Amino acid sequence: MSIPFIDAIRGYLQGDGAVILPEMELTLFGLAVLLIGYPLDESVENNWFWKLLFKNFYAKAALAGTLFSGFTLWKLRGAVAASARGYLPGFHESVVVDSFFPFFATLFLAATALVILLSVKYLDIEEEQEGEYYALLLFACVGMMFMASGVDLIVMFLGLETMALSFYVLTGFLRREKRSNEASLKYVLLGAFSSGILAYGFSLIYGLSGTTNIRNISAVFNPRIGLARAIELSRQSGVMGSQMRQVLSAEYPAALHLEPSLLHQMPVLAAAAFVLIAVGLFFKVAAVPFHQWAPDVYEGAPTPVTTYVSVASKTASFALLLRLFLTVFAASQETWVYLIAGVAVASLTWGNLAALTQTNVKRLLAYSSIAHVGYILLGLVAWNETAFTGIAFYLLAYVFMTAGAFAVIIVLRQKGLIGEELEDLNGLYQRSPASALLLLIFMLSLAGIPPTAGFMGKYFIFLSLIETKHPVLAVFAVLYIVPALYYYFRIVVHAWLKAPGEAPRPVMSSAQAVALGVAVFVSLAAGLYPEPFTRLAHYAFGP
Amino acid sequence: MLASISIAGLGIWLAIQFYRTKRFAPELVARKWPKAYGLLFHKYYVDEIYDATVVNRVKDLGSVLGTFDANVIDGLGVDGTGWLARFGSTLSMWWDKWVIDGLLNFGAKMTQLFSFPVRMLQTGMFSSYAMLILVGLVILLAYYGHHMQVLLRGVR
Amino acid sequence: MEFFAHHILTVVLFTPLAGALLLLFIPREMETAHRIAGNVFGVLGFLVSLPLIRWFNLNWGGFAFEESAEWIPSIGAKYHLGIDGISLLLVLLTTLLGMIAILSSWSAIHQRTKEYYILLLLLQTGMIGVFVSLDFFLFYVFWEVMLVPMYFLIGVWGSDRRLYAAIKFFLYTLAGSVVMLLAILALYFYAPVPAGHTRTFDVPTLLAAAQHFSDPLKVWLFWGFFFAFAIKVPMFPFHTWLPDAHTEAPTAGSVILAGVLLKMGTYGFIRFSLPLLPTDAAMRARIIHIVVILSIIGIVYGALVCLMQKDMKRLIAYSSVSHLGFCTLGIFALTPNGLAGSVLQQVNHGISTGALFLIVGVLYERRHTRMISDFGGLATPMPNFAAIYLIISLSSLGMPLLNGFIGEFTILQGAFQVSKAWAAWGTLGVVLGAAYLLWLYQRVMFGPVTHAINEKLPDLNLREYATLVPLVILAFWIGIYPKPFFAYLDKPVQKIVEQVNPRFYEAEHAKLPPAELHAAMPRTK
Repeated sequence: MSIPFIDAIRGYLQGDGAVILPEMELTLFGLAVLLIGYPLDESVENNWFWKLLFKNFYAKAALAGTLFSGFTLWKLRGAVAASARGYLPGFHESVVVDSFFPFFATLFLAATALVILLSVKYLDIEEEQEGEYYALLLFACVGMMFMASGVDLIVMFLGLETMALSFYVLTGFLRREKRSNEASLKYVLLGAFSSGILAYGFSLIYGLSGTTNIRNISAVFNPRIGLARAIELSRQSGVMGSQMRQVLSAEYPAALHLEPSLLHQMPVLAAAAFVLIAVGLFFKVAAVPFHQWAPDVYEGAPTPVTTYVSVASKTASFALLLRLFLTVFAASQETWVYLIAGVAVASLTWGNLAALTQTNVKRLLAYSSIAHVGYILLGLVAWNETAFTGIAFYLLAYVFMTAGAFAVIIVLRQKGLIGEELEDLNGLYQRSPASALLLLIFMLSLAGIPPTAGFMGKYFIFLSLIETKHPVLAVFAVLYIVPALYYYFRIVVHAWLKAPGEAPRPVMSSAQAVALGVAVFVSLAAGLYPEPFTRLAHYAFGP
Repeated sequence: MLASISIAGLGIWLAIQFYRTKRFAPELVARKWPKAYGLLFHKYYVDEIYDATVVNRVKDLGSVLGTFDANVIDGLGVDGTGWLARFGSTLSMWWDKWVIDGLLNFGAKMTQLFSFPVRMLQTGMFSSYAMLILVGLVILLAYYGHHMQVLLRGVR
Repeated sequence: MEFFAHHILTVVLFTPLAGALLLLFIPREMETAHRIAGNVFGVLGFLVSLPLIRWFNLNWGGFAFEESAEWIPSIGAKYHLGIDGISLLLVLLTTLLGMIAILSSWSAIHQRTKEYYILLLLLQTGMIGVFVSLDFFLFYVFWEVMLVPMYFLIGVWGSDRRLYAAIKFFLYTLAGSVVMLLAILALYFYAPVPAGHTRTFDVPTLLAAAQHFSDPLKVWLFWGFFFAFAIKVPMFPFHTWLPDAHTEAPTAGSVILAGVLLKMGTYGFIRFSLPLLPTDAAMRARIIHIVVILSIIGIVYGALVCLMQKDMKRLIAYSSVSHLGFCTLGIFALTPNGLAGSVLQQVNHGISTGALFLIVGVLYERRHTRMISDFGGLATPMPNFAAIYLIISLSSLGMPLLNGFIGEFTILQGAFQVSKAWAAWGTLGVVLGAAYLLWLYQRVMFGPVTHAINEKLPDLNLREYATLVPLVILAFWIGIYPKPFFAYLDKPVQKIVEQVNPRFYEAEHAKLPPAELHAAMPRTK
């Protein structure tokens, strides 16, 4: 028996729908969390089954969504491997599932799951336990996944905005808290500003190439720039010019009579498009000098959201950036490499030096994350296989070690104690040895001391810089580990070596324990036995 | 041979006569020939002559050298070395404290100094942040636009 | 037993780590249990290293007890261990001093004992790892890992300025080692890869490949490694972390720092820096000149600074700068005598300075002060202590019949073969060494008892004897009969000199009559 409606859905799910199935599932779970209310009376409290099901129902549903989506993603990965072309296109090649997508999508889902686990107790303390929060987390994740799978400028932009809008709301989720509101407003205004810049860049590319699909853009774009340069050369005197004139008159005679000023504008406009897009994305990843929202937003947002912004939003923006740079702007890498190098060095310098004097842990980690962006951007400067593996590995390590560091701060948040200042960490070792040990491991990893994940990430970046003959940048990058260690160890000093004050013992919920366990496992495993992780990172940029 | 034995024998006999049997008392001889006795008693004054000409002169030199040792060699040399060592170590501690640690502390000072621009730029005002984004954008555009222009004009 | 025989280095390496893991499971309150477990694993760590002596083949010039296992195949990093005579002596020194340091802390540490022993044992694994790794990646991991426990040992159990000293130590060393990381990566990248092979971090392979590098590249690599090792040794002017770290660290920390940690730098020079010296004679001479002059400045400078110290620990700390200057001088003389003497002197310095720190620890435990002026005339209440202290002082200053003499003499002999001036400056260091050590001894031990509180100080107890006597015995043993120690060094030193200074043997043989020449020829494989 065939029901046309069901058949249509089944057909859809085997065709285009298969490509966006993980996102669809997440959306459905998000909608479910939004729409389903649940009974909260004594019968729930007293019956173990109802309690298991309904206590923190929203969080459990959202977590189930990420697990479900992750499972689908796993199966999708198998389908990618089995496919003839090595990737699965959908919706007229505007969404693509290749090896790049599962890697980043897994990171986003993992980050989302960690944040959900970390949020439950935090929201209880803040008395803001709402379904919308978890729905927004899932929607943000959907947006990020489209940022990684989209190969069409419009899909990418939509993905980015879905993510960003969710974040704007999440940042201001503590309605009664002034800091949270202020951060949210700042984030919205600046985010809109940067999105405008990004959209302008997109529109320029569209204007120059006549298509929004990035595969087509790179097919059209780079030859056109090449042609423009050829025509420009042919107008010059000398041997080179005359040779170029002969080539052009043989192959493309019309070119010799084109309006010169238009031709001249082509590469310059492409350059402008590049800069606009880069600036829009630099804002999202918080690279200097587009980073200033980061410390304020990190400090003001509820700490789980800070974690999410710092970890997932940055990774997703890097995914988008890599997708664009590796296709549309790949051919012109040698022209923009200095620009990226400049931004990278600025981020390293500013991030590391500004972090030295911070007294708020969240702000300190904000600046340190700016420094991490500098390292990742150096991978783009190196631009070889090691560098791409390194970027992927670095992002992987970054997700777990940063989430872990913030998780410890979240554990410190107790009733009547904010726990975000360095002073609040005093004597953490005496109050909770396990959290202090975890904090130490995350700090070592963030600083890049072996054998931790953070070291391996840096290892690949440094190696790629040496391979591509950038010794000065390499020395520069490597020496910044020293101040970085200093400020990370300021946190350690407060947690381990200062006497505890009046602060109470932090109590870790089981959800927090699971999140910390996962984060510390990856941070250590990827350092002690990096082999599977390096393979994974290598896989992200093509089998 | 015979003569020497007889002289030796005579000497032995005389000594016996003088000191064992006391037939001639030495005092008697000393009274009779005081000069000869004195000469013999002081063993022809050889020791005195030697003392005066050699031994005392060496002693004098020794005391001179001793003074030199105490004042010049020890004073300037050994103690001086000690003093020099103390001076040197004071100097090197000074170097450690001010120059090498100073360099390190200089880094710390620079860091402190650096926190000012950070604070200055991190105003918390939306407008200044947006302004910086624009400035950054313009700088990057200017740089890259210029760079492309240069590349275009390239081989001339 | 079979497993032990084939994986002895792994066992030696991970015995302390196993102890640390075991200690994790002993409840915090059971302090005595921590002490006992820590000591048991300290002794165990020493005992399992003893078979190395018997099983080591003195005629085998390469690496012994090699173990190799895949670790990160995608980048070519392996778990590759192995030792030659040089690392053998240093490993044994590490296990011995580790055991003694753990024993010496029995009554000195009263807070956080559990963490204390865990960190000491972790540190032990890290240090042994540095000496036995034959894979650059593994080596770097151990090199860095070891910083963390040392940081905490100084930072938690140190004296007044411990936070400053701890972070200074960490940052200083880290600055050197990150540059070394770049040098390692460059070595890794520039080494040619045979077809069908992946890149490798294997130490012998990479160092052999480095022989064919261009001279400028070798010079860059040399300086890249140099800073890490020079800071660790420490050479003038990278030494200022040392007095602070040594002074602020707890006794066991100072013993380990002076006894073993500093040797990681000299070991690095011998193992990694020497093969990276450029082939071009002028370039090489320039580098060696710089390093030797820094060593000589270190010798004289360290000794001079010692004369002015008011704090016993600080004095001994500065004396390490002077003594380690001898070791680097010996290394960069590039003669067999210089190198062998340098390694032996490293062991000697571990013994003598380790013991000196233990001695200060003994006094500190009784009086809670390290100021020289707080003591005086201690020979009266503590005669046995005075005797041991005197022997150790004499051993440190290079008295014949004691170990220091053999080391310094051999180094000076090696340096003399290259330049008489180097040897002369070195001798000045010996003289100054006698001055500051004897003066210290005189001020602390002789004369009338100047402080009433010192009149009734108890003499050494059994545990303190147990820590000091083995070192005294070793001091005499090396001083009277150093041959068995040199026997471990002959082969590896000859191999190094043949590689980095081949003209040395040619020149030596030119001096010999033909019959003896044949006998003296280095036996090549």
